[in-house]
Amino acid sequence: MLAPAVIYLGGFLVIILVKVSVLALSYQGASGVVFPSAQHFMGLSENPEFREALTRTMWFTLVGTPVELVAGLVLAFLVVGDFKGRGLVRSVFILPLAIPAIVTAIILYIVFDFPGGHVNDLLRGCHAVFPFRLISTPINWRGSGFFALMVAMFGKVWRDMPISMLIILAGLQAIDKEQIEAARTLGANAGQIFLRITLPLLVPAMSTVLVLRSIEMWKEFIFPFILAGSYPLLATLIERAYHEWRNPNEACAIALVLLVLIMGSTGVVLYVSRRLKKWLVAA
Amino acid sequence: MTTVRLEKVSKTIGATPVVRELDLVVGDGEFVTLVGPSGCGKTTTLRMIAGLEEVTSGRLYIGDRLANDVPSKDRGIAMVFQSYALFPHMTTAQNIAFGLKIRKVPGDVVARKVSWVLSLLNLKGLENRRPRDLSGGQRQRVALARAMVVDPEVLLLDEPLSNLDAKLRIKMRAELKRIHRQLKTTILYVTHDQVEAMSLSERIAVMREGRLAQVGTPLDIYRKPTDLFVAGFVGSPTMNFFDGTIEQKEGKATIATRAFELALPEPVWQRCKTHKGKTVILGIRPEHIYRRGSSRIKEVSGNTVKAVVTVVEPLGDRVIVEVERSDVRFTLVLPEEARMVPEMAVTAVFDMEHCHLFDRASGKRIAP
Amino acid sequence: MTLRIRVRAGRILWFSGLVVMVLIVIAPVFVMFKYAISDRASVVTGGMPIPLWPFHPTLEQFRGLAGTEQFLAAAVTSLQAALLSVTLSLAIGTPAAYALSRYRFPGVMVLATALISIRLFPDVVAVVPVVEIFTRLALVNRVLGVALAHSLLAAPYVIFIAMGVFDTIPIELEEQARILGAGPVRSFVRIVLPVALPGLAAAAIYVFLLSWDEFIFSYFLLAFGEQSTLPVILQKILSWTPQHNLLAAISVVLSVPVVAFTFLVQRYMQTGAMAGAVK
Repeated sequence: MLAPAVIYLGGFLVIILVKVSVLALSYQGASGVVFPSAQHFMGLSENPEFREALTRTMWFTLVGTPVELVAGLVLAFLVVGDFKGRGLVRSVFILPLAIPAIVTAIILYIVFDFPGGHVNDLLRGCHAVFPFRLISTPINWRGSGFFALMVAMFGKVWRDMPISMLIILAGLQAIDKEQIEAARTLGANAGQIFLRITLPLLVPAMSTVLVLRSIEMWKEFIFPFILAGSYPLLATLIERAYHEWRNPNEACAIALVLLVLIMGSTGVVLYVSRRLKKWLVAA
Repeated sequence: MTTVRLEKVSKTIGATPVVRELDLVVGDGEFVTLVGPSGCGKTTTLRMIAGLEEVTSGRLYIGDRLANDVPSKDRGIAMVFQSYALFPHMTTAQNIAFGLKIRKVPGDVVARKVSWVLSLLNLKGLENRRPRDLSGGQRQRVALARAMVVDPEVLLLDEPLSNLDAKLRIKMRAELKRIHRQLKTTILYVTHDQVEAMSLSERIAVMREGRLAQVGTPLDIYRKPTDLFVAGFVGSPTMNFFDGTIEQKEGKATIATRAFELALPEPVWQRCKTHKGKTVILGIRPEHIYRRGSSRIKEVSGNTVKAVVTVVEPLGDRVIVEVERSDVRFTLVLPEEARMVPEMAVTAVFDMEHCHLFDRASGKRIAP
Repeated sequence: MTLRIRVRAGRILWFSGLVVMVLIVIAPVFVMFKYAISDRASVVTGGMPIPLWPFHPTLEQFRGLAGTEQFLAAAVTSLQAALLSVTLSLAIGTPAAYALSRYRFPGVMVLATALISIRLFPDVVAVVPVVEIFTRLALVNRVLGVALAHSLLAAPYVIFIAMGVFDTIPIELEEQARILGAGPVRSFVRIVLPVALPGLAAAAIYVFLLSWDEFIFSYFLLAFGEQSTLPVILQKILSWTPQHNLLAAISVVLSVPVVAFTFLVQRYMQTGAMAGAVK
């Protein structure tokens, strides 16, 4: 019964890993194919496009992951209590998950249009609902690396924040109410309860969010592909290397770099969150 | 209706022995309870009889047939699980009819038998309910009905009452007794509750760490526990135990604890002579210790102990009283009229005819 | 007194937070619907601000799509790929999940964790080798290739969900069926499957949506061929700089089933098919 799944999933994984490594490490030299060869990695390290993509990806992940966590925390704390219409609000907060990522990207493409998108209109004070003229000339969102990646990041965070919310919410609901009441009877105030009880107990949930979200941020493709086409991240550079440069070997080399970065950062996040929990309890 | 016979039956899971060389015979139409603390192997024993666990070694007979390798459906058994294991997607009637349909019993017979068992267990009117729409007691009865309807020769019940509240449990106990009297099915019942075991069964098998500690009628087990474990496990409140030395002074046999000395009646002394001068364990049930004045037994020299009340637990008509003398504590059960309060001095009268003596090293019963 | 003021301030902060977040979540969805029902004049404004509500709401974009062969073909491809993915990943995942849930052999949790964590493998890393292999196997530009790739993404989720489903079905149900005389096949078909069905349906819907939404593999496998799934055609159309109301209309068509099913699955999961079976 297990065989089909093990063969299909395991087999694919092995083939993918072998193939990606073989392609990344094979070099088509003048005298035939050289294997193994670090030629592609050396080439990439001198390629300004790769170096820029690497820097952008790091910033994208470094900023985007905490923003995801904060968004998840905010949503979770907003709906954790009891209030009328909580079910409806929760459903609304899950809505982004139900909108396909490509659709979200397209909508953002439309609203952050230049010169005449909704966001530009609003910021110029064209609508009565927001009568403040913050900018005089429209911004070319997709023409600036900073803005383009910000919009892409917004899309990514918007679309994925329900997942963070659900994980945090599960973590919050797993906290025994009696533990909090016990702390209160022992004389702890709201702030102390949050710092000493809620937060440490929430660390596992938060570290789950950070691990999952950072992986997602590193490998994010759709939003930067649609919204920041001229400013590639590593993931979109793989596409460019494969389709535009017609160089599967370099595409695989980039993919391998990305894989190593993801594994490294996951290790770091896990280590840090373990230390953080210890520190929070002890402090 | 048939017999179940276990001969040196053992079960090992991994390297851990769970049941060790169990010998037990359940007679035709008998109601036998396997009782013991959790992890003593009683449920595993039942599951081996059901055919859900393989017998590692030994022989298991159902009737005259060696059943070690018989698949469970051919053993003529039915089982009620602790969780009831009702099929959630089937109604009461469908649940009950399941076993009959699998056996390809004709439709009209199925209908007749289902209707019979529904009335036997007072389930009329609930035929079309799903398990989730039944109360705990009703689910329990449906599980029982599903087992009864296939006319099992042996009915296996695995803690069937443990998920019910106290009141319902007592009601179902009576119900089970009634059904057993009516159908005379051989029943093997597993519970960790000694009160349940005492009140239900014709014979009790007390298990401990995979071994059989004692088999006997409820009264046997209450009156003559074979060792310290059975003595402490059966009866509520628990038996009092004291370390004491058997002595003989001026022709009189006594047992001396750290705090007091009690005279041993002649029949007891005859059985424990061999332990003269040795330290043994004296056991006496709280209900066999009285208060001076109210005792049904004669006060003779050497069966009274002066003590001070430390804790009083009223039970309504009776009170459980814990008393102390020179750091030795014991409990007694007194009628409510005794009006006990802590710090009060009492004179306890021990009914030594009902005492138990156990060997200190082996825990085995010495006398009477 | 101070406590009351603090509580009030807290409530106000909470409520404003709630309003802001609801707006942030709702706004893009509103914009999508607004554009989808916009007439031409509300989209092509010649430099004037785009209205927040169309001048003349209309369904003409949807009518247009219903008559566009390329769009209909993409919708059919999406549907085929999704249904094929559901079939494949359930066929692969369900038996594995049952085995992992029922047979507690040594190392079973390690194997389960390993199989399930394959979903964490970055798709964008896998896509180039997969396309290279599929090119050799003539699976590029074919629905089967897309479905095989989607099953690869979906099977770990199926194993995860189905394991959870089987774990909630007490083994006693099967043991009871066995005692009552049912063989393994009948016990699976008559007892386990009906009880597991709502949960497995949820898994199936999950896979369907995953395939329906999926962009990266579909794009790499179909970008230069005749066939497109809906997400891919959306991207292809984007490169022709089309009118925004057309993009929005396709987006709506793409989103509606996902929104509907997501909330359906949510309800399914909460129905608690097991209530009453135990205790």
